[in-house]
Amino acid sequence: MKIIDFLEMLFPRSGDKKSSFKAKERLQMVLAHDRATITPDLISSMRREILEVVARYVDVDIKEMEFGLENNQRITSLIANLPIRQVKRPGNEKIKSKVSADTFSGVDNTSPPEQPLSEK
Amino acid sequence: MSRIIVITSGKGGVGKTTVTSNLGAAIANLGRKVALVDADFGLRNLDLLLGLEERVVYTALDVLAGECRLAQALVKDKRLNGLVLLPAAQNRNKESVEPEQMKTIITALAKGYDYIIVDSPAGIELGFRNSIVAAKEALIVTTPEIAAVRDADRVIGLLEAEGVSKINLIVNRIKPHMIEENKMMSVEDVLELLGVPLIGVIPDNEAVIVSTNKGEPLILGDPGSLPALAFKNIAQRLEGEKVPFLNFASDQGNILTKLRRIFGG
Repeated sequence: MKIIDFLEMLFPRSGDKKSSFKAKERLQMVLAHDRATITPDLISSMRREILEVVARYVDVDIKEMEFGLENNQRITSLIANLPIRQVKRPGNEKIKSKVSADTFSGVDNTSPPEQPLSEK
Repeated sequence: MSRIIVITSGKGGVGKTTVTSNLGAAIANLGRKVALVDADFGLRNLDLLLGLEERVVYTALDVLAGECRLAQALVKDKRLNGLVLLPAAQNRNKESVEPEQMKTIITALAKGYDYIIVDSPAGIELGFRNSIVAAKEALIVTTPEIAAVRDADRVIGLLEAEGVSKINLIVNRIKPHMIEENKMMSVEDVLELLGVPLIGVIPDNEAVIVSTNKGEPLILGDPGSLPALAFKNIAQRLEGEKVPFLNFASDQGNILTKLRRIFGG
């Protein structure tokens, strides 16, 4: 064994020390992608239609929402997290705007406290 | 009821044919009747690894063409009672076999054997579809390498889509000293990524190459070796026995690995 090999063994270069972790990480990414046989177009039209339905009942915070595919143990799931700004009350638009005004008054932060709705 | 098992991997060169020949021999050694089918038309090698290449007269294509009976094409292994090989054609175009024809042959074979083990070609094209058409079970062979694991995942997805639900994993060419130094993914890593049950772990071992050189399955040529034991264990697990997995955590590592282990590094 050359001295340089010996030194490398004592002080392994961080680059190749944990290459197995790197392999696993890269595979996790690539497998999630490979397994998702649903095209991005399909996802975005699904997202639009689901939002349309949900928007009939509640105001969804579109900026904060999450919508996508996840892989776990060979099962692909659609994960949607749609934070609700407020619940719409059927046939009473006035109450809605009043509640909304009250909620916002005196609060510096523009986003109102909300209960995120998660569907799994 | 005979079991029809396809051995496949997606990626080439991970050891499908080596696994087929050694596992076939190990199952036959347990007293079962085993027919090995080489589905790698055009690039056959199973006859070579079994040491039967000089005894091949007819192939699966001759059976399909009606030039011989199925029984005539089967090459009996004289060393192991109950082990036969159905060779693939070497000379003709591999596109000339259709899945339905393959199914006919394998179904006919199933009448006389406990196990039909089909050695699939690499890739996911027609040859692969031919090899899985009659299969009820699959053994996925992979190595702890990034490309092999990715291709294994593709193949598992395709098998599931074809309704082959009994899928087990064989991780081949494990190098324990590299795993200890985190230079190779561990069997656990591969299992976590692929999410199918493990049925065998085979160490990277010189005995495997020596046995292929001689055309002598490990169970015959070097039955005491570590990989021979690994194949024997897989055969027993297929038979429904609970056999603990071999622990290769080894003395193979160099002195510093050992020191690190002692000092908990």
